[in-house]
Amino acid sequence: MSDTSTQGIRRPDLSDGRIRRRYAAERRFRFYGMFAVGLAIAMLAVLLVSVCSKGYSAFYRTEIGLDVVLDPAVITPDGKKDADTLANADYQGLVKDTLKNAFPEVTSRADRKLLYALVSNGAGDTIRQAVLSDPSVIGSTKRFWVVAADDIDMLKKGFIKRDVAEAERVVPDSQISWFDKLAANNQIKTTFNSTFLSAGDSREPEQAGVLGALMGSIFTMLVTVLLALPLGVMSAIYLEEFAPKNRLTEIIEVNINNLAAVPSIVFGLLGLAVLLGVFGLPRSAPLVGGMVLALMTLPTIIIATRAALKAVPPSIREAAYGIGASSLQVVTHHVLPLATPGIMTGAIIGLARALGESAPLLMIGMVAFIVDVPHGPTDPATVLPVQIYLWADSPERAFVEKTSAGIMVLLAFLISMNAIAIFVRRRFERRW
Amino acid sequence: MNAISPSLAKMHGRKVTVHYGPKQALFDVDLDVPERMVTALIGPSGCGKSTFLRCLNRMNDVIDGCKVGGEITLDGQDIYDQKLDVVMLRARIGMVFQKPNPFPKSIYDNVAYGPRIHGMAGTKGELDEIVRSSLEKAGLWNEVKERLDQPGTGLSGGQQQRLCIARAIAVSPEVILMDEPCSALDPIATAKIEELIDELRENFTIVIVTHSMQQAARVSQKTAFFHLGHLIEWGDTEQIFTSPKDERTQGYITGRFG
Amino acid sequence: MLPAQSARNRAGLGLPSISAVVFGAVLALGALLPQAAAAREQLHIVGSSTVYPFATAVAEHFAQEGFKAPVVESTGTGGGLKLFCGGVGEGFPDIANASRPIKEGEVEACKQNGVTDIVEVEIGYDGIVLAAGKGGAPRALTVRDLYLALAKEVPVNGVLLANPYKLWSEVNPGLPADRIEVLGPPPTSGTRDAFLELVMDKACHTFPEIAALTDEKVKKAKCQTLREDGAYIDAGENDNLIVQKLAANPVAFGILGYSFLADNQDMLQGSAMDGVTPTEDNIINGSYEVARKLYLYVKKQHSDVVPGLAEFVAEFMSEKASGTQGYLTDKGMVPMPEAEHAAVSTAVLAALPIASSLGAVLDLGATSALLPWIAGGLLLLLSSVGFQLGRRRAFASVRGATRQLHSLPSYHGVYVGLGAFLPGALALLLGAVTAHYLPGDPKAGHDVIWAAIAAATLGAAAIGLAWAQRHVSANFRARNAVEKMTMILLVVCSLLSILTTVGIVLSLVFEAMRFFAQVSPLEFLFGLQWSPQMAIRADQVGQSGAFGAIPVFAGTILITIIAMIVAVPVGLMSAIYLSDYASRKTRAWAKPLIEILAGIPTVVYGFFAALTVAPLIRGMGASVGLDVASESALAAGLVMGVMIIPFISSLSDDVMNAVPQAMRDGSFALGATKSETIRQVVVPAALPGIMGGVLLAVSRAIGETMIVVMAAGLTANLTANPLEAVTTVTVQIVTLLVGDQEFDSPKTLAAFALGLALFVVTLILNIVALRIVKKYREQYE
Ligand SMILES: Nc1ncnc2c1ncn2[C@@H]1O[C@H](COP(=O)(O)OP(=O)(O)OP(=O)(O)O)[C@@H](O)[C@H]1O
Ligand SMILES: [Mg+2]
Repeated sequence: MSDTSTQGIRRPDLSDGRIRRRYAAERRFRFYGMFAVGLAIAMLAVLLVSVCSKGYSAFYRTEIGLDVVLDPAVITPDGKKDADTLANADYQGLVKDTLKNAFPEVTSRADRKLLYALVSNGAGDTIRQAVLSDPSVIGSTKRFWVVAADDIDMLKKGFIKRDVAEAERVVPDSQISWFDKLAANNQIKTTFNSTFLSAGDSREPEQAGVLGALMGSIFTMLVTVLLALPLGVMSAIYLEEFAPKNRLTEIIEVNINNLAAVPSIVFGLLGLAVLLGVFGLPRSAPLVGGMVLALMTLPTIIIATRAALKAVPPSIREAAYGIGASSLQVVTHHVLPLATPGIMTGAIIGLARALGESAPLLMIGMVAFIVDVPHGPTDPATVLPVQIYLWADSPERAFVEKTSAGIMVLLAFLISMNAIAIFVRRRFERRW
Repeated sequence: MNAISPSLAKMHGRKVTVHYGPKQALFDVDLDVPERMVTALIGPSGCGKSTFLRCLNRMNDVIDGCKVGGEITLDGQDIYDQKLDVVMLRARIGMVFQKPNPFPKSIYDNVAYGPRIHGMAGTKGELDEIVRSSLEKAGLWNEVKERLDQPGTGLSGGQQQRLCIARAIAVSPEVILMDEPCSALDPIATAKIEELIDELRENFTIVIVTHSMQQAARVSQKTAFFHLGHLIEWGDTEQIFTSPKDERTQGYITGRFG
Repeated sequence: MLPAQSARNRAGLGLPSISAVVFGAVLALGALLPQAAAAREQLHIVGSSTVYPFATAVAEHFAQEGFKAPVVESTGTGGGLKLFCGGVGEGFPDIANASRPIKEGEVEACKQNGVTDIVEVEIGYDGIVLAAGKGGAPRALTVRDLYLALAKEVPVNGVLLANPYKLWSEVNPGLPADRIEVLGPPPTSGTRDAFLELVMDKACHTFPEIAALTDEKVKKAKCQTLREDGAYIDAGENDNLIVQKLAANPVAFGILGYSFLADNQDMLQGSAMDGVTPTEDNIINGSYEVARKLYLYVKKQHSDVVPGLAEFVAEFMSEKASGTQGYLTDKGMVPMPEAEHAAVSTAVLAALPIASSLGAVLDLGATSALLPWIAGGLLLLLSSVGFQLGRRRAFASVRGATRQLHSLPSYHGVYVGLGAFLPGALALLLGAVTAHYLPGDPKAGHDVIWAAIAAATLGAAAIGLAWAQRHVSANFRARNAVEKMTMILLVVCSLLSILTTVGIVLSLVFEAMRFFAQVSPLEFLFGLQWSPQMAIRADQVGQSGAFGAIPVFAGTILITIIAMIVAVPVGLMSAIYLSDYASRKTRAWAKPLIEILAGIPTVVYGFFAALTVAPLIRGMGASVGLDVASESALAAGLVMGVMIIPFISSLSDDVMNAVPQAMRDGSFALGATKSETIRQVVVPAALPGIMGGVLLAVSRAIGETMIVVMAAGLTANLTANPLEAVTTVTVQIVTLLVGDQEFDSPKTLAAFALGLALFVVTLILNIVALRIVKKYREQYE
C-alpha cells in the first residue's frame, strides 16, 4: 500500500489553452441551450403573433345606427301585447323599412335587396330585446344600433379593399356609397363584439360565437380530466411500484407505449364502435368525446407519471418502509408528492393535446354545426378546435378573423388550464 | 508533530462569512490550512463545518442564494477573485462528500471521469494506470478489479465512499477536502481510509470534517473547533485535545470522551 | 405488528382519495347514462362536407322558426350514409347529405338494417370551377386542354402514352408556357368524381384514339385516371387552403367549389371553360356545364321519432331557401331552374307530408330526469354515512384509545364506506345498462324503472354497509382490507390500457379483414405503389399495385425523422438549459411557455405549415435552383417537430431536475465545467426518462393527423427526398374515412387496414425500443 508515490504524480492539465478550450465548449453548450429555448419561444411567438394579428379584429364589430319607428301596426297587428306576439313580430321588417326610408332613392328590387343586406339578418333581435324588456316603447321612434352584415364589417375593417374593381369585390359600389353616407351621418360605429363570446355557432359570421364550442370544450375536458388523470396515475403507480416484473407487465408496458402512437382518429373509431355502438351513448356528446380523449391521453399521462416515479430516489422509499409504512402508504405519502411535478407535466402536455384534438371527434359526431350552447355533458356540442376547423373551411371572408379569434380563445383556455397544473407543479418541485 | 509556521499555510481564510439567503451560517472565520498536513474540523452538528469546507473549493457557488464574504486564498491567491477560474480551482482542490455520490457510470468510468475531463492521460494505458493506482490508493482495487465495467452505484456504501475518494485523488489535487468520509464505513474500512489519509499527507494537503474525536486525534495535525458558525479555537491537534483554551471546546471534547 | 407511526399522524389517505374521485366519476357517468338516453329533440343530419354549408344555413333558419336547431355533422358522403344506414331509432341520423346519388350497395346495406323508407331530395347544384390566382393573366381553357394536361395517359400521334406534357403551351400552343400544376380534390372526394365525369370523360371521348377502344372498362379507366407525377396535386378537402395556395402561386390552377370563387373574387379568377365563364348566371342557366347535383336522403321512418323532420325538408325546399333567389344562393349553392325546383318541391312535399298535429316532444318529467341523480346522490350520502359510522364504531370499540386499534379509525371508515358504495354503484350501473337495453319504448315507464333502480341501489348499499359495519373491531385489519381493495383498483386501472388495445384492434380488424378479402395482404404489405384513385370506379376494384402500403409508411417515417431531427436537439437542449442553466425565475416562465407549443391546435400548425413554411422552403429552394414540391415533407416535418418539442423538453427537464444535486456536486468538485457535468453525468443519469420522452414524441409524430392532412401531400411517393411530397398513414386514414366514396368500397376499408398495419408496426418499434432501453438500464441502474 505504501509504494504509491514511486511514480511521478500526474497533475491535471491546467494549461491556459486547454482551459480556454474547455470554457469555449462550455459557452457553446450554454449557447446551444439558450438558442434552443429561444428558438422554441420564438416559434411560439411567431405562431401567437400571426394568430393574434389576424384574430383580434373579431373582438369588435361594426354597428349601424338606425332610427327605427316602432310601429304598433307591425309589432302588435291585433293590438295584443302578450309576450308571444311581441317575441314573434317582424322586427327585421322594421329594420328594412327604416333602411328603405333612409334611402328613398333606392327603388329597384335588386337594389333594395342589396340595401337590406347592409345589416345582419339578426339585426331584428336587437329591437326585439328592447321591445320585450320594455313594451312601452312601442309607438315611439328610437335609435337602435344594429349589427352590420359581415361583408360590411369586413369593408369597415379594411379586409375588403375598396380599390379593386367592382366585379372583383363582394361588396358592390352601391353598398359602399350607402355605407359612406351612413358613416357621414355618424350612423356607423365600432363596438366590442359581445356576440362572439356569448353565442353558439352560426352560418352568418356576424352572428357566430365561440361560446358553444367553449362550453363543449369545458365539458369534454372535464370528463377527460376526471377519467384520465386518476386512471393514468393509478395505472402508473401499479406498473411502477407494485407490478411484478413479468411477461404480463412487460406486455402492458409495450402496449401503453404503443397506444401513444395510435393515430387519434383510430380512438374515434373505437369510441364509435364501443361507446356509441355497444353502450348506446349519444352522438355528438361531450361525455363521449371526453371518454375518447381520455383514452387517447392515458398513455401520455402514464408514461410521464412512470418516469416521474422512477426518478424518486429509492432511499426515500426505503426510509418510509423503514418506519413501518405499508407499501401503499409509502407511495401515497412519500413517493407521490415527490413525483407530482412530473405527473403534472404529463397532465399538461397530455391534456393540451386532448384540448387541441379534432380528428377522433369526427367519428363520434362532434364535428358538427351546433347552434345551441350546450348545458351539460350530454347535450350535443362541438369543441373549440373543431369549431376552428369548420370556420377555417367556410368560404365567407369574415370567418378568417373568427378562425383566428377562436384560436385565441382556445389558447386562453389552454393557458388557464395549464396554469392550475403549473401551480401544482411549482408547489411540489424540488431537487434533492 | 512538526510545527509549521503559518507562512507555509496552503490556504488562508480571513473573516469568512457565509449567508444562506437571510440566514448567516458562518461568522468571521479566520483559519489557515497548512500545507501537507491534515486539518480536522470538529464541532457539533449544524455548526458550519461543511459550509466552511465547501467555501474552500467554492462548492457554495452551486447553491442558490448562498453568499460568501471575507477572503480565502490558495497559495496566496484569492480564490473568490473574479479572474480566478473555478474549474481550475476545483481541479486543484478535490472534495469527498459526506454521502457517497458515485456517478451512474461504471466503476472504471467513475474514476476515469476526472482524468478525462482534465486531459491527464494521453493513452488508454495511461488512463488504466491512473484508475488502477487511484483505486489502489483508496484500498478498493482488490475488491473491484474484476468488475470495473459494472455500475458504481451497485457497490456497498463503504465501497462507494472509497470509490469517491479514488475518484477525487485520480485528479491528483493539491488539497483534498473530506466531509465526514468515514461516516458510512466499518472500522476496517475506516482504518484503511485513515491510513490512506496519512499516506496522502505526503503529497496532499487535507482538510477533513469529522465527528469522531479519536479520528481527529489520530489523523490530523491541526484541529479547528466550530460552534454556532464561529471558529472558537484552532491549533495543533495535541494542544486542542489536551489543553483547550476555550471552555466550549473543553466541553465538547470532554462531552464526547466522557 | 408495528403500527405505522407516520401513517397514524396523517389524516390524509392519498390514494383512497384519488380512488374516491374515480368512483365519483364513474358514478356520475352512470347517472348521466339515462340522461343521455333521453329522447332526442333535434334533427340529426350527417354527410357531405359540400352540402354542409347549405344544410347548416337551413338548420339555422329552421331553428328561428321555433324548432330546436338540428345538429349537422360534416362526415363525408360515404361516412354519412354509413351512419344513416346504421338503423332506425334515436341513435341514428335522420338525414344524410350527399354530393352524389346513393349507390345500390348502400341502399342494400340500409335495407339490411331496417332502413327501408328513404326519400331522395335534390336540392341544387354545386358548381365546380377552375380558378387561378389574380397574379397571372386570365387563361381560358377547354375541356380538351384539361384532359391532355391531367390524364395519366394521353393520345400522342395516335397512340396512348404516359402523359408527356410539362407545360400548358405543349398542350395548347395558345396557352402560356407555364408549368402544369393543378390543385384538386383527392380520390376520395365527390368533387373529384364529378370533375372526372364532367370534364375528363367528356373531353376524352372526342379523341379518336379513345373512341377506337372497344372495351368499355378500359375506356373508362383511360379517361378517368389522373396523372400522378406531380402535375395534378391532391390538395385535400379544405378549399380555403387551396385558395391561399393559389393566391401565392399564380401559375397553379385549383379545382374548387363555386362558393369559394364567389367569396374570394379579389384573390381568384375563374377560368372560362370551353368559352363559358363560371358566373352564377351561367351556372344556373346551364351554359356552364361543370356542376353536379347535391342530395338529401331523408329517413321517412323517423317522422315520428324526432319532431320536425318533414318541416325541415319543407324549409329546405322552400322558395326562400333553395329557390333561385333563396338564401342558399348567398351561401354559394347553385339553385335549380325555377320549374325544376317547383317540381322537386311538390314531389318532396307529397312524399313527406307535414303532419297536422305534431306529436309533442315527449318530455321526461322533472322527477324522472332527476331520479338517476337522486339515486347517485343518495348512494354517495350513504357511503359517507358509512364512513362516519365505521370511524365512530372503531373509536367506540376501543373506547377512544386508538392506539389499541390495528388500523386508524379513518381506515375503518373508508372500509365501511366502500362496503356501502361498491354494491350500490354496481347495482346502479347494472340498472342503468338494463334500463337502456330494455325492449320497448324507453320513455314509457321510465319513472317506474328508475324508481326501481334507485331502490335497488340503496338496498344494495344498505346491505353492504351493514355487512361491512359488523367487521369493525379493534383487531380488524381495516387498513389491509382497504389497501387490498385499492390494489385491486390499481390493477383494474392498468388493465384498462389492455382493454383499450383490444377495443382498438377489434374495431379495426373486422373491416380490415373485409379489405383483405378483396386485396391480397401480400400486395398490401409489400406493394410499392399506393394509389387508391385507381380503384375509384367499381369496375376497377383491386387493380394491381393500387394498394401497396410501403410508400405510405415510408412517408410517415420520413416525416417523423424530420420532426425528430428538429425536436430532439431543440427539446433536449432546452431541457438542459432550463434544468441546469436558467435561473429559477426564467425556468418558471419559460417552461410553461414552451409547453403551450404542445397545446396549440394542430389545425393551426397545419395552416402554418401549408401557408407559411412550405412556400418559404419552396422559395428558398428555388433561389438555389432546387425543385421543391409545394407540399414537401420538409415543411410538414419541421412544423411537426416544433409541435413535439415540449414532449421532449418538459419530460427531460423533469427527469434531469430529479437527478440528485449530489451527483452534480461530485462532478463539480472534480473540476468539471457545467457542460461536462451535464453531458457526462446528468444526461446519462436521466437517460431512461429522456428516452421515454423521446419515444413518446416519436409516437406522437407517427400518430399526428391534422398537420399532415393540411401540409403533407396525398400522393404517395416512395422517396427519401425531404423536398418531395409524401403522404402519411394518418393522412390516408382520415381522407379515406371522410371521403365521399361508397362506405363498403375497398377504398374506405383500406383505412382500417392501414390503421391495423400502423398498430403492428409501432408495436414492433416499441418492443425493439423497450429492449434497448432495458439493456441500457440494466447496465447503469
Ligand atoms: N443549502 C443550505 N441552505 C440553507 N441553509 C443551509 C444550507 N446548508 C446548510 N445550511 C445551514 O447552515 C448551517 C451550517 O450547516 P453545515 O452543513 O455547515 O453544518 P455542519 O457543521 O456540517 O453539520 P453536520 O455535522 O451535521 O454535517 C446549518 O444551520 C444549516 O441549517
Ligand atoms: Mg456537514
